[in-house]
Amino acid sequence: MRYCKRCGVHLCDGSDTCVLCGSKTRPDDSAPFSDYPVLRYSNRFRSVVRLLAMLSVLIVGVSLYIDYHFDSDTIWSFIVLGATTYGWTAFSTRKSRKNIGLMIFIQLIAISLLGYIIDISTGNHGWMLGYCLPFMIIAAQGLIVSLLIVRPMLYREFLLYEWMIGILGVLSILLMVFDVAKVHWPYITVCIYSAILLVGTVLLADRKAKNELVKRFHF
Amino acid sequence: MENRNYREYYWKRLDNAAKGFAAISDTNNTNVYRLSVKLKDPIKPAALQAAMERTLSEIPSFNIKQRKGLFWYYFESNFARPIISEEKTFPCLRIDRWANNGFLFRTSYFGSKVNLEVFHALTDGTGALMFLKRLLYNYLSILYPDRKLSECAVFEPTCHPNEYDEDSFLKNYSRSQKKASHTAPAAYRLRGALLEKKVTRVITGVMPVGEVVARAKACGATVTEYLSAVLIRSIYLGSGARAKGGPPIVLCIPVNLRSFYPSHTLSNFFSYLNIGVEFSRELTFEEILEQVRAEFARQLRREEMELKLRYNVEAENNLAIRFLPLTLKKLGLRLIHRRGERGQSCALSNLGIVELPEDLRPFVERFDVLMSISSLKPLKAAVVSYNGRLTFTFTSALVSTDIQQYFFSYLSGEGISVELISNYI
Repeated sequence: MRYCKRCGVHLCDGSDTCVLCGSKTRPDDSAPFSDYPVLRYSNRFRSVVRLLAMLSVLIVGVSLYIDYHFDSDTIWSFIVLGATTYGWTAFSTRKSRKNIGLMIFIQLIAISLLGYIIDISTGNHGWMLGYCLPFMIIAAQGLIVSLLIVRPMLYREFLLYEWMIGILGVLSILLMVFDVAKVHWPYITVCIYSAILLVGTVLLADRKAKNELVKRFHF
Repeated sequence: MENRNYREYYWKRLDNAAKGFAAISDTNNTNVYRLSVKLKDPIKPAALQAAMERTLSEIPSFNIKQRKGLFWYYFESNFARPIISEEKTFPCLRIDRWANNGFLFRTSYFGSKVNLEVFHALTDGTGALMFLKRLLYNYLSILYPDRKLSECAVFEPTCHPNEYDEDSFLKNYSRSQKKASHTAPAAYRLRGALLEKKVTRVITGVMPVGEVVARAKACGATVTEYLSAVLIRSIYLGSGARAKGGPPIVLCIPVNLRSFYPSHTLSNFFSYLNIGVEFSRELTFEEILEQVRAEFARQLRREEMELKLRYNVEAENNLAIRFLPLTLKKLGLRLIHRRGERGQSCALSNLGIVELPEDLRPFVERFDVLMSISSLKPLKAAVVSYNGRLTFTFTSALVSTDIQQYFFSYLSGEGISVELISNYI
């Protein structure tokens, strides 16, 4: 141990300078000990993230500027903006990878938005709303149903997301009703498919699954 | 098997305070505090792991994870294995639910010290201390199976197990008191250069309890009042007189409501006092202590506690608030919390005296308590006493150590022997 004359305190870690005032300490008779590990904070990860964020802003800014000043058939800078936003969304929700249901839901929304931006930027041919969106909903539901079969222990974890995507699938018919989507058969397909899966999972839901709903919606 | 079946259905609502902590916590305001127990011998990780698993089976209310509902968070059983690791990070960082198997506490060890870091939504200091004592008992009984060690009983035999799981806020609030908001005016705010994000400076002073009690008694105060006055004086001196003529220096002091109401809950059940001193002119220590004592006498009354209890519980029960989606509630609660924090300069928590059975004492050297810092309160302090030694720990994100220096040098100047332990920042 050491002693700081200025502060009048004993320093158990045996350091040459006082942790309070920075003065030189003098040794005393008891042995020093340590209760904390010596840690050095590394902010390398944060620096890399900040650098990437700065690069993203730079790339998007330059793209918007060039696209604005030079005529072209496509608004390609929006694709850069959408792709960058998607990249950051995927990065910031990377921890949800352990909750596969949530990850599928987030990816469905994010990829749909990115696809829509690409479609709009390249002349609004309607392929995203016409075909991709309904089939992505079908694929997402299929993936969750497969997981429900493969990992029945996580039934309750997946069920909520299955229902959420199912409701999204049924409601997607509104895009057809309000004439936003020009092609009708994919939406009729996804609506029927989602409705069947919703009813099926509701009928198959056991008491624990219903308990899950009570928990999730308690107020 | 029956127990597992019960646990699969088990879920519970968060208590009144937990709802707030769950909503407002983030990387900057972790609301994670640490209780440490330093033993005489180095920790054996395998025995600690076994002790933790045994303790969780005995106290299932800690064996939970936090889930998100549409309107509120909730707790449900956690079937994962608790993780025990060597201390490799700064104290009181946010508990990453993915890295920690969903548990709301984190256990680590370093040398002969066991750290239990608890997210405040799980329980308050009293509940966490009960858990740590039980963990300690299980650890020692695994290490020394031949010795008949006295149990650290968590549950009193006369109580029903449900009493340990109850929301005592809800149970004990009454409508007999008039309703009043307890939003405090802005307090003096500690400012200064900050350490790197996620870095916390820890300075612990270990003192003989007898010497501190004697000094406090000589001043006609309790230990908490005395230490509060010394801390307020240190903040004032550390402010370089910037606090003079400005808003008061206010300490937030948590109060264990179990001493006011009959409760055996292991969930949160605490309130707090805002002990403020206004420096309209230079004050002597005696004048500061006089004001602190008067504030304690005014606020530390059951009627005052009931006012706060009613305000908080009725806000939670308000139908319009209940039906707000959780995301909106979080925004609102963060604003309210921030406004409340503006009324406090610093926090001081006194966990009191830790009692252990006679035959466990030879194994244990010291208990420590560390509070997490927040963006508006970059310095906090906590006290705990055990076996005639009082440990006063500052956790701080400030580069300057002026406040700690004024605090400990004042105590040593008063004839109290102070030994300092720090984490080398």
